[in-house]
Amino acid sequence: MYYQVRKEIGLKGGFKMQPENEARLARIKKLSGILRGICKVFLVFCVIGFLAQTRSLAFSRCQTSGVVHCAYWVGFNGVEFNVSEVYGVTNRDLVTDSDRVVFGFIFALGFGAMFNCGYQLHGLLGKYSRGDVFTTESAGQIRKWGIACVLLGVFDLGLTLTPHLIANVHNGQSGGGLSLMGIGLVIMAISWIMEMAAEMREEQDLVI
Amino acid sequence: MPIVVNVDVMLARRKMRSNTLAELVGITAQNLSVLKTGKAKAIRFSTLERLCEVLECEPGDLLAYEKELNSDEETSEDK
Repeated sequence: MYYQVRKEIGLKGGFKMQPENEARLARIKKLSGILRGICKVFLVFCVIGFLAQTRSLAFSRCQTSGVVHCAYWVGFNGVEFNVSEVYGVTNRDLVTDSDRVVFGFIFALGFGAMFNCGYQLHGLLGKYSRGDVFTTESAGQIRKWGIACVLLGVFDLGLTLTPHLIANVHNGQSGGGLSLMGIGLVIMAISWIMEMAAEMREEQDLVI
Repeated sequence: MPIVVNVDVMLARRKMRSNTLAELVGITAQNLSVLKTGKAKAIRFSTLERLCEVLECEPGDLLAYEKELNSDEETSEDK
């Protein structure tokens, strides 16, 4: 109802504010715009990374170690980027096509979760850049971002455990999946409190 | 909403503009618009007092109660 009222009486960006608060809001909008641009770049890199990884998994048969290393080897000649120590999976380990499919599926989910996390953050910064800072809608968007972080943590954990599903695993190091899940849950809790506070504030705005 | 705000009626009687009333009462034009359109959740006694003072009227002139009829009550009245 609060937004219906704002729309009906043609208000943009909320009710009238003090000049110093107007200046603060302008700064928030500017900073959010810049961060949103950085998010866009991150999303583009996510897509490029996913495509390179898929190509590597599907076609690469290089002898050197590292699944992602092969992608960089194909794309950037002479660039040595050995990530076998990070993921613990090498092309020598992926001996069958089913191994590649399993790893590819889990990697795709991981990239999807990472993209979703960046996308939700992009949406949140979009709301901030439009001036919807302390509203129920922005609190809902923060909750979506929190859920995306939890999902990213889950798939990051899955990616860490994947080498154990595949034969001839040499390395296996733990990822940051659990901490990401914890961060996501904290973000969700904060968004829940923020949403209640925003509802109280919106109701207060309608007290004349 | 059952509570009806008749600020428009009093504005017309006193031949006053909304912006002028808002300035005299000490509220923003947006808030007055929210009040006039019946979207306000509540009104402070201090605001009501100022409105009555400026418009030279009683609270009853500004606020009225109109009971909302349900469809069942309407059909029973028709019978």
